[in-house]
Amino acid sequence: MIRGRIIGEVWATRKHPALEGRKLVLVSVVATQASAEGKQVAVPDGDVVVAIDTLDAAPGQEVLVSWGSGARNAVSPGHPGIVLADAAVSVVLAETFESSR
Amino acid sequence: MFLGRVVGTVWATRKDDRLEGLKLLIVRPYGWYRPAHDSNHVVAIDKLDAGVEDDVVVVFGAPARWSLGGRNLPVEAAVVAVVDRTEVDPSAWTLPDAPFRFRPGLLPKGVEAPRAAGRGGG
Amino acid sequence: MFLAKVVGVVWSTVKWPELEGLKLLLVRPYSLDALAGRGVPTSDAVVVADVYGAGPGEDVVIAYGHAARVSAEPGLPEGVRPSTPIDAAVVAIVDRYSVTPEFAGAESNHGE
Repeated sequence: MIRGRIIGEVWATRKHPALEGRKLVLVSVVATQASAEGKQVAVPDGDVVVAIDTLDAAPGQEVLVSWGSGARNAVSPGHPGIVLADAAVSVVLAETFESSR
Repeated sequence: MFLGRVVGTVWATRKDDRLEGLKLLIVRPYGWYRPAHDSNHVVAIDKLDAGVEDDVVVVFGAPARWSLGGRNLPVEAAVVAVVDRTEVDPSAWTLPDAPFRFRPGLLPKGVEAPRAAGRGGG
Repeated sequence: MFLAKVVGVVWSTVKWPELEGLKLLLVRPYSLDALAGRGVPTSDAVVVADVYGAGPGEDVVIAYGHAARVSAEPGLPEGVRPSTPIDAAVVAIVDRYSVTPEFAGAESNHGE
Protein backbone atom coordinates (compact mmCIF):
# COMPACT_ATOMS: atom_id res chain seq x y z
CA MET A 1 0.00 0.00 0.00
CA ILE A 2 1.10 3.54 -0.57
CA ARG A 3 0.18 6.69 1.28
CA GLY A 4 -1.35 9.59 -0.59
CA ARG A 5 -3.63 12.59 -0.49
CA ILE A 6 -6.85 12.98 -2.47
CA ILE A 7 -6.38 15.99 -4.73
CA GLY A 8 -9.19 15.66 -7.23
CA GLU A 9 -11.62 13.61 -9.24
CA VAL A 10 -11.93 12.42 -12.84
CA TRP A 11 -15.22 12.06 -14.77
CA ALA A 12 -15.60 10.00 -17.93
CA THR A 13 -18.65 9.01 -19.98
CA ARG A 14 -16.76 6.92 -22.51
CA LYS A 15 -15.23 4.20 -20.42
CA HIS A 16 -14.91 0.47 -20.12
CA PRO A 17 -18.28 -1.00 -19.01
CA ALA A 18 -16.57 -2.60 -16.01
CA LEU A 19 -15.84 0.91 -14.67
CA GLU A 20 -19.52 1.92 -14.82
CA GLY A 21 -20.59 3.62 -11.61
CA ARG A 22 -17.06 3.74 -10.20
CA LYS A 23 -15.72 6.94 -8.67
CA LEU A 24 -12.21 7.72 -9.90
CA VAL A 25 -10.04 9.95 -7.72
CA LEU A 26 -6.65 11.57 -8.24
CA VAL A 27 -4.21 10.72 -5.49
CA SER A 28 -0.95 12.57 -4.93
CA VAL A 29 1.53 10.04 -3.58
CA VAL A 30 3.42 11.12 -0.47
CA ALA A 31 6.62 9.83 1.04
CA THR A 32 7.71 10.41 4.61
CA GLN A 33 10.93 12.31 5.11
CA ALA A 34 12.81 13.54 8.13
CA SER A 35 12.43 17.30 8.61
CA ALA A 36 15.23 19.57 9.83
CA GLU A 37 13.99 19.02 13.39
CA GLY A 38 14.17 15.27 12.95
CA LYS A 39 10.38 14.91 12.71
CA GLN A 40 8.87 12.61 10.07
CA VAL A 41 6.77 14.65 7.64
CA ALA A 42 4.71 13.67 4.59
CA VAL A 43 6.05 15.11 1.35
CA PRO A 44 4.60 14.59 -2.13
CA ASP A 45 6.94 12.62 -4.33
CA GLY A 46 5.58 13.96 -7.62
CA ASP A 47 3.57 10.88 -8.56
CA VAL A 48 -0.16 11.22 -9.20
CA VAL A 49 -2.23 8.08 -9.60
CA VAL A 50 -5.87 7.42 -10.49
CA ALA A 51 -7.60 5.07 -8.05
CA ILE A 52 -11.11 3.67 -7.62
CA ASP A 53 -12.71 5.08 -4.49
CA THR A 54 -15.50 3.14 -2.77
CA LEU A 55 -15.02 4.90 0.59
CA ASP A 56 -16.18 8.32 -0.61
CA ALA A 57 -12.95 10.05 0.39
CA ALA A 58 -12.96 13.86 0.11
CA PRO A 59 -10.33 16.13 -1.42
CA GLY A 60 -7.56 16.89 1.05
CA GLN A 61 -7.99 13.64 2.96
CA GLU A 62 -5.05 11.33 3.44
CA VAL A 63 -5.59 7.77 2.25
CA LEU A 64 -3.83 4.47 1.74
CA VAL A 65 -4.03 3.11 -1.79
CA SER A 66 -3.62 -0.60 -2.45
CA TRP A 67 -2.30 -2.05 -5.67
CA GLY A 68 -2.88 -5.03 -7.93
CA SER A 69 -5.00 -7.86 -6.54
CA GLY A 70 -5.08 -5.99 -3.23
CA ALA A 71 -6.91 -3.17 -4.97
CA ARG A 72 -9.40 -5.55 -6.53
CA ASN A 73 -10.05 -7.16 -3.16
CA ALA A 74 -10.63 -3.73 -1.60
CA VAL A 75 -13.28 -2.90 -4.21
CA SER A 76 -14.89 -6.31 -4.41
CA PRO A 77 -13.98 -8.58 -1.46
CA GLY A 78 -14.03 -12.22 -2.43
CA HIS A 79 -14.52 -11.50 -6.14
CA PRO A 80 -11.37 -9.61 -7.08
CA GLY A 81 -11.31 -11.02 -10.60
CA ILE A 82 -14.09 -8.85 -11.93
CA VAL A 83 -12.72 -5.43 -11.02
CA LEU A 84 -10.97 -3.49 -13.73
CA ALA A 85 -8.44 -1.56 -11.67
CA ASP A 86 -4.87 -1.67 -10.49
CA ALA A 87 -5.30 0.86 -7.67
CA ALA A 88 -8.01 1.48 -5.06
CA VAL A 89 -8.48 3.61 -1.96
CA SER A 90 -8.54 1.06 0.85
CA VAL A 91 -8.12 3.19 3.98
CA VAL A 92 -9.06 6.79 4.75
CA LEU A 93 -6.71 8.06 7.43
CA ALA A 94 -8.45 9.88 10.27
CA GLU A 95 -5.26 11.01 11.90
CA THR A 96 -1.65 10.01 11.61
CA PHE A 97 0.96 9.91 14.32
CA GLU A 98 4.46 10.50 13.12
CA SER A 99 7.16 8.89 15.16
CA SER A 100 9.79 11.34 16.32
CA ARG A 101 12.51 8.99 15.10
CA MET B 1 -4.09 3.68 -13.20
CA PHE B 2 -2.80 7.00 -14.35
CA LEU B 3 -4.17 10.11 -16.01
CA GLY B 4 -2.51 11.12 -19.27
CA ARG B 5 -2.83 13.08 -22.49
CA VAL B 6 -2.89 11.29 -25.83
CA VAL B 7 0.00 12.81 -27.79
CA GLY B 8 0.32 10.46 -30.74
CA THR B 9 -0.51 7.30 -32.66
CA VAL B 10 1.57 4.29 -33.69
CA TRP B 11 1.11 2.25 -36.86
CA ALA B 12 2.59 -1.25 -37.05
CA THR B 13 1.96 -4.04 -39.53
CA ARG B 14 4.61 -6.50 -38.27
CA LYS B 15 3.31 -7.37 -34.83
CA ASP B 16 1.94 -10.06 -32.61
CA ASP B 17 -1.19 -11.64 -34.18
CA ARG B 18 -3.06 -11.02 -30.95
CA LEU B 19 -2.62 -7.25 -31.48
CA GLU B 20 -4.39 -7.38 -34.85
CA GLY B 21 -6.98 -4.63 -35.21
CA LEU B 22 -6.05 -2.93 -31.94
CA LYS B 23 -5.19 0.77 -31.98
CA LEU B 24 -1.92 1.88 -30.33
CA LEU B 25 -1.72 5.34 -28.75
CA ILE B 26 1.21 7.27 -27.31
CA VAL B 27 0.19 8.70 -23.93
CA ARG B 28 2.04 11.27 -21.84
CA PRO B 29 1.32 10.69 -18.14
CA TYR B 30 0.44 13.78 -16.08
CA GLY B 31 1.75 12.15 -12.96
CA TRP B 32 4.15 9.27 -12.94
CA TYR B 33 3.65 6.08 -11.00
CA ARG B 34 6.78 4.06 -11.16
CA PRO B 35 6.46 1.80 -14.15
CA ALA B 36 9.02 -0.96 -14.66
CA HIS B 37 10.80 1.02 -17.33
CA ASP B 38 12.43 4.40 -17.51
CA SER B 39 10.58 6.03 -20.42
CA ASN B 40 8.41 9.14 -20.00
CA HIS B 41 5.62 7.96 -22.28
CA VAL B 42 3.36 4.92 -22.45
CA VAL B 43 2.05 3.07 -25.50
CA ALA B 44 -1.49 1.94 -24.64
CA ILE B 45 -4.12 -0.09 -26.47
CA ASP B 46 -7.29 1.90 -27.14
CA LYS B 47 -10.73 0.42 -27.87
CA LEU B 48 -12.67 3.52 -26.76
CA ASP B 49 -11.69 5.55 -29.83
CA ALA B 50 -9.74 8.20 -27.95
CA GLY B 51 -8.01 10.78 -30.13
CA VAL B 52 -4.90 12.92 -30.00
CA GLU B 53 -5.27 15.65 -27.34
CA ASP B 54 -7.86 13.69 -25.34
CA ASP B 55 -7.21 13.07 -21.66
CA VAL B 56 -7.46 9.37 -20.80
CA VAL B 57 -7.21 6.98 -17.86
CA VAL B 58 -4.77 4.13 -18.55
CA VAL B 59 -4.56 0.88 -16.57
CA PHE B 60 -1.46 -1.32 -16.35
CA GLY B 61 -0.95 -5.07 -16.06
CA ALA B 62 -3.54 -7.82 -15.77
CA PRO B 63 -6.59 -5.48 -15.75
CA ALA B 64 -5.33 -4.03 -19.05
CA ARG B 65 -5.48 -7.50 -20.59
CA TRP B 66 -8.89 -8.26 -19.02
CA SER B 67 -10.28 -5.03 -20.47
CA LEU B 68 -9.52 -6.54 -23.88
CA GLY B 69 -11.14 -9.83 -22.95
CA GLY B 70 -8.15 -12.10 -22.36
CA ARG B 71 -5.37 -13.12 -20.00
CA ASN B 72 -2.62 -14.12 -22.41
CA LEU B 73 -2.42 -10.98 -24.52
CA PRO B 74 0.91 -9.24 -25.18
CA VAL B 75 -0.52 -6.04 -23.71
CA GLU B 76 0.80 -4.09 -20.75
CA ALA B 77 -1.35 -0.94 -20.83
CA ALA B 78 -4.87 -0.06 -22.03
CA VAL B 79 -7.14 3.00 -22.13
CA VAL B 80 -10.12 2.33 -19.86
CA ALA B 81 -11.71 5.80 -19.83
CA VAL B 82 -11.80 8.92 -22.00
CA VAL B 83 -11.97 11.85 -19.60
CA ASP B 84 -14.81 14.41 -19.81
CA ARG B 85 -13.59 16.55 -16.95
CA THR B 86 -10.88 16.61 -14.30
CA GLU B 87 -11.32 18.59 -11.13
CA VAL B 88 -8.41 19.35 -8.83
CA ASP B 89 -9.15 20.59 -5.34
CA PRO B 90 -7.75 24.12 -4.78
CA SER B 91 -6.20 22.97 -1.51
CA ALA B 92 -3.90 20.70 -3.48
CA TRP B 93 -1.97 23.74 -4.68
CA THR B 94 -1.66 25.39 -1.30
CA LEU B 95 -0.73 22.54 1.04
CA PRO B 96 2.28 23.81 2.98
CA ASP B 97 4.09 20.53 2.80
CA ALA B 98 2.62 19.17 -0.33
CA PRO B 99 2.02 21.03 -3.57
CA PHE B 100 1.59 17.98 -5.80
CA ARG B 101 3.36 18.11 -9.11
CA PHE B 102 1.85 17.05 -12.35
CA ARG B 103 4.49 16.66 -14.99
CA PRO B 104 5.75 20.22 -15.46
CA GLY B 105 4.41 22.28 -18.34
CA LEU B 106 1.27 20.27 -18.96
CA LEU B 107 -1.92 20.02 -16.93
CA PRO B 108 -5.16 18.11 -17.53
CA LYS B 109 -7.86 19.86 -19.56
CA GLY B 110 -9.77 22.40 -17.49
CA VAL B 111 -7.24 22.39 -14.65
CA GLU B 112 -5.33 25.59 -13.98
CA ALA B 113 -2.50 26.25 -11.59
CA PRO B 114 -3.15 29.35 -9.50
CA ARG B 115 -0.62 32.01 -10.48
CA ALA B 116 0.31 33.24 -7.02
CA ALA B 117 0.43 29.92 -5.21
CA GLY B 118 3.17 28.58 -7.45
CA ARG B 119 5.54 25.83 -6.65
CA GLY B 120 8.22 27.96 -5.06
CA GLY B 121 10.90 27.01 -7.54
CA GLY B 122 12.57 23.72 -8.08
CA MET C 1 4.49 -0.55 -23.23
CA PHE C 2 6.76 2.06 -24.76
CA LEU C 3 8.56 2.95 -27.97
CA ALA C 4 12.25 2.20 -28.39
CA LYS C 5 14.88 2.17 -31.11
CA VAL C 6 16.80 -1.02 -31.80
CA VAL C 7 20.50 -0.22 -31.43
CA GLY C 8 22.09 -3.65 -31.44
CA VAL C 9 21.87 -7.42 -31.28
CA VAL C 10 23.08 -9.64 -28.43
CA TRP C 11 24.42 -13.16 -29.07
CA SER C 12 25.02 -15.72 -26.37
CA THR C 13 25.79 -19.44 -26.39
CA VAL C 14 25.60 -20.16 -22.68
CA LYS C 15 22.01 -19.54 -21.65
CA TRP C 16 18.91 -21.16 -20.21
CA PRO C 17 17.46 -23.80 -22.58
CA GLU C 18 14.16 -21.87 -22.59
CA LEU C 19 15.95 -19.00 -24.32
CA GLU C 20 17.19 -21.23 -27.16
CA GLY C 21 16.25 -19.75 -30.53
CA LEU C 22 15.06 -16.48 -29.03
CA LYS C 23 16.69 -13.39 -30.53
CA LEU C 24 17.92 -10.79 -28.07
CA LEU C 25 18.05 -7.12 -29.04
CA LEU C 26 19.55 -4.07 -27.41
CA VAL C 27 17.05 -1.16 -27.49
CA ARG C 28 17.00 2.41 -26.20
CA PRO C 29 13.62 3.71 -24.91
CA TYR C 30 12.43 6.92 -26.56
CA SER C 31 11.93 10.07 -24.49
CA LEU C 32 9.00 12.37 -25.36
CA ASP C 33 11.53 14.87 -26.69
CA ALA C 34 13.07 12.29 -28.99
CA LEU C 35 9.58 11.22 -30.14
CA ALA C 36 8.83 14.86 -30.99
CA GLY C 37 11.91 14.95 -33.18
CA ARG C 38 14.19 16.76 -30.76
CA GLY C 39 17.24 14.58 -30.35
CA VAL C 40 17.62 10.82 -30.32
CA PRO C 41 16.87 8.20 -27.64
CA THR C 42 19.67 8.42 -25.07
CA SER C 43 18.29 6.53 -22.08
CA ASP C 44 19.98 3.37 -20.82
CA ALA C 45 19.77 0.45 -23.22
CA VAL C 46 17.57 -2.53 -22.33
CA VAL C 47 17.91 -6.14 -23.53
CA VAL C 48 14.63 -7.44 -24.98
CA ALA C 49 13.51 -10.67 -26.65
CA ASP C 50 12.20 -10.55 -30.22
CA VAL C 51 10.27 -13.12 -32.24
CA TYR C 52 9.12 -10.73 -35.00
CA GLY C 53 12.47 -10.08 -36.71
CA ALA C 54 13.23 -6.46 -35.81
CA GLY C 55 16.67 -5.16 -36.74
CA PRO C 56 18.99 -2.31 -35.78
CA GLY C 57 17.65 1.13 -36.73
CA GLU C 58 14.01 0.06 -36.50
CA ASP C 59 11.51 1.44 -33.99
CA VAL C 60 9.67 -1.11 -31.87
CA VAL C 61 6.97 -1.30 -29.19
CA ILE C 62 8.30 -3.00 -26.03
CA ALA C 63 6.24 -4.65 -23.31
CA TYR C 64 7.41 -5.72 -19.86
CA GLY C 65 6.38 -8.52 -17.54
CA HIS C 66 3.61 -11.02 -18.34
CA ALA C 67 2.90 -9.28 -21.67
CA ALA C 68 6.54 -9.81 -22.69
CA ARG C 69 6.48 -13.52 -21.84
CA VAL C 70 3.21 -13.94 -23.73
CA SER C 71 4.76 -12.20 -26.74
CA ALA C 72 7.68 -14.66 -26.76
CA GLU C 73 5.19 -17.56 -26.90
CA PRO C 74 2.95 -16.77 -29.90
CA GLY C 75 0.96 -20.03 -29.74
CA LEU C 76 0.25 -19.89 -26.00
CA PRO C 77 -3.31 -21.06 -25.19
CA GLU C 78 -5.54 -18.92 -22.97
CA GLY C 79 -5.27 -19.97 -19.33
CA VAL C 80 -1.71 -21.36 -19.56
CA ARG C 81 0.99 -19.38 -17.79
CA PRO C 82 3.92 -18.40 -20.01
CA SER C 83 7.24 -19.78 -18.77
CA THR C 84 9.90 -18.07 -20.88
CA PRO C 85 12.35 -16.49 -18.42
CA ILE C 86 12.30 -12.95 -19.81
CA ASP C 87 10.93 -9.62 -18.59
CA ALA C 88 10.94 -7.50 -21.77
CA ALA C 89 10.04 -8.22 -25.40
CA VAL C 90 9.13 -6.66 -28.74
CA VAL C 91 5.36 -6.83 -29.38
CA ALA C 92 5.25 -4.76 -32.61
CA ILE C 93 7.61 -3.28 -35.18
CA VAL C 94 6.67 0.32 -35.93
CA ASP C 95 5.92 1.40 -39.52
CA ARG C 96 5.21 4.98 -38.56
CA TYR C 97 4.23 7.07 -35.58
CA SER C 98 2.93 10.60 -35.20
CA VAL C 99 3.12 12.88 -32.18
CA THR C 100 1.81 16.36 -31.46
CA PRO C 101 5.05 18.23 -30.69
CA GLU C 102 3.43 20.89 -28.47
CA PHE C 103 2.12 18.21 -26.12
CA ALA C 104 4.96 15.75 -26.38
CA GLY C 105 7.69 18.33 -26.08
CA ALA C 106 10.30 19.51 -23.66
CA GLU C 107 9.30 19.94 -20.08
CA SER C 108 8.94 23.49 -18.83
CA ASN C 109 7.76 24.96 -15.56
CA HIS C 110 4.13 25.73 -14.76
CA GLY C 111 2.99 28.97 -16.40
CA GLU C 112 6.32 29.13 -18.28
